[in-house]
Formats: sequence, C-alpha cells, structure tokens
Amino acid sequence: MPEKVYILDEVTVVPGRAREYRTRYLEGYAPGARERGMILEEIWISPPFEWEEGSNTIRFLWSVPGAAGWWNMRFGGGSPNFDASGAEQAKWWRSVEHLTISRKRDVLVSYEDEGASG
Amino acid sequence: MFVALYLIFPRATDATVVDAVTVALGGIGARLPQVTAELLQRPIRAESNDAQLVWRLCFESEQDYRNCLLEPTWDEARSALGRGDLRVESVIYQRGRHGIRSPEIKNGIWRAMVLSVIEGTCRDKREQYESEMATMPDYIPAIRNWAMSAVLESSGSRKWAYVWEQDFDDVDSILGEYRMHPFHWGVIDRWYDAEHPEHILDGKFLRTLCPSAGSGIDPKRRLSTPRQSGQLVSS
Repeated sequence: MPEKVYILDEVTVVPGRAREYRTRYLEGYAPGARERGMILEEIWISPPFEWEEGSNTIRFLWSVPGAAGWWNMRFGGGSPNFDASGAEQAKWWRSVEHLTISRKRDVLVSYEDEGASG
Repeated sequence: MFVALYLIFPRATDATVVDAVTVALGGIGARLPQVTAELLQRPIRAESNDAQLVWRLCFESEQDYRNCLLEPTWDEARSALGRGDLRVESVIYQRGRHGIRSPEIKNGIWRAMVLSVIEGTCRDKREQYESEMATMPDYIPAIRNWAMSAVLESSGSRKWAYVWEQDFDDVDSILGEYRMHPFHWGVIDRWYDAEHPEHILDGKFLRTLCPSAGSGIDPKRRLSTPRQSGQLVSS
C-alpha cells in the first residue's frame, strides 16, 4: 500500500487571471481540503511567470496518507455518504469556471511505492 | 437472466413497517411460476440512506417478467409495495456484462449499487465508465462474482441507469481489498467523485449489502418451478 497518495490539480487559466485564481483557490478551496486531511505540497506555475497576455497553467499538488487517507478525504472519515460527498467542492469549482479554460485531476503515487509496479 | 429489484425504505423509522412488508412479500416469489430465484432480505450494515429491505426476483427472460405481472399472485406484491408508508425504488434489467469465478460461493455477501447518470452525459463517457467497471474484477480478486447491467425501466426518486452487483466472501474483503485497491480509488472513483472533472454519476446512489446463502449474481434456480396448467407461459 502506498504511504502517500498524491492528487494533482492542473488548471489552465484564462489569460491574465493566474494570480486571482491562485488566491481564490487558496482562500476558497484549500481550507476545506485541509479539513479533509489533504496536505498542500506544492504549487507550480507554467510558463514560469504570471503571463498577462497568455494562459498560465497552475498545478496544485496535494497528498493524503495512503488509501485510507483517500477515503477519509472523500467521506471525511465517516461511512461513505455519496449524497454529501464532493457537493461543496463541486460548488466551489463551479464558482471559478469563468476563470478556467480547462482542468484535470490526476492521482499519483511514487513509482517506488510497494504495489505501484503491479 | 432478467431481474426485478426492489429496494424498500420505510418513510418513518418504524421497524414494524419493514416487518409487515417482509411478511407480506414472503412466499410470493415461490408462488410465481416465472420466478427462477428470489432474495427477500434485510440488508446488513444499513446506513440511514440505505434500503431497509431488498426484494430481488430473477426470471429467464423479460417476457417471463411481463407475464409474472399478470399473475393474480402479483396483486399481493403490488399491494405490499404500494403501501403509503414506504418508498420503493425499483429497477428491471437484463443482466449485463458479468463474471462468475465462484459459482459455489456460500454464506457470502451480495452487494448492489443502483446508480444514475448526470443528464447530458455523452455515450462515449458512459461506455468508458461501463468498460472500466467491467475491468475492475480483473484487478480485485475479492470480487468473486459480478455483473454490470444497464437498467431497462425504473421507478422511484431517480431515473436509474445502472446496477453494479458483486458477490464477496465477507464484509472484510469489501472494506479491505476492494476498498483499498488502487484500481478502486485511483481509477474508478473519479466517475463517482462530484468534484472530479470526469465524474458522470449522480451522487444519489442506492446501495445494499445482504448476506446471501449462495451467489447473488448467479443464483441457483429453484428445484421445481410451480408452473401449473392454465398459467401464462413465456412466448
């Protein structure tokens, strides 16, 4: 079982709005994520400067402690409650749609983790 | 195999309602000549939003199911399921893609999830989801038997789209190997996670977990079908 599971949010932002997006992410999304056990490991920006005339892609790398941490993130440590799960977060993502060109979320583990190579 | 599945929820937390419906439905399946297997069961580990009673009827064909609805005995079922103090979510479906690797499983757990898809989800996404769900048992041996079926007709609170059923040896294998496998949380879960950009499933699921003497996915046909002369037969 992996010790750490990483979640990578990759967002391509409307030109000139990278700083605003980052601020909104940190103020609007990150507090709830931390409450669900997610640890913000790193934020990257590409190209490597705030581009006023072009689109930046911002990558937010989170981690949770293993598979159990994953389910804790999803259901807050309780029984799976799909009715409530993700609803607040989904609402937040919708609130920044006007700043977003595209978005993806990847789940990663270290290739060196036991089990990752099959 | 064609299936009719009824998930029954009392509108109030009154245990006697479930008792009464259990008594009312008990024995009906055995008197319906078209029914090849039946499960009438209170689920285990029921959460507040889980069904309190499950009734699952198997038929050889959709036509047998349709004929069953014309049996006088079915009026008793209609009456039991139509009580005002119940909410009933029902689906009918032809068993879809499935895999049976433990046909003789004994005293295991039959688990079912009834799922609806967000309106407007494109066919390609649905097919990809169906395909990945069908691949899941290849990676997770704890899933002893499984079926992924598209719902033909449904009633209740949603337009239900899929029934995902599995047989497990025990509850521990669900909470352990099944839940913790990276294929589950690293691949499949994105379809269910409301904040994931690829999710396609409505958050309002139905699920049930029932003890099962044999396979719930591939139940043994009952030994004798009480079909009598003069009763409807499948065409």
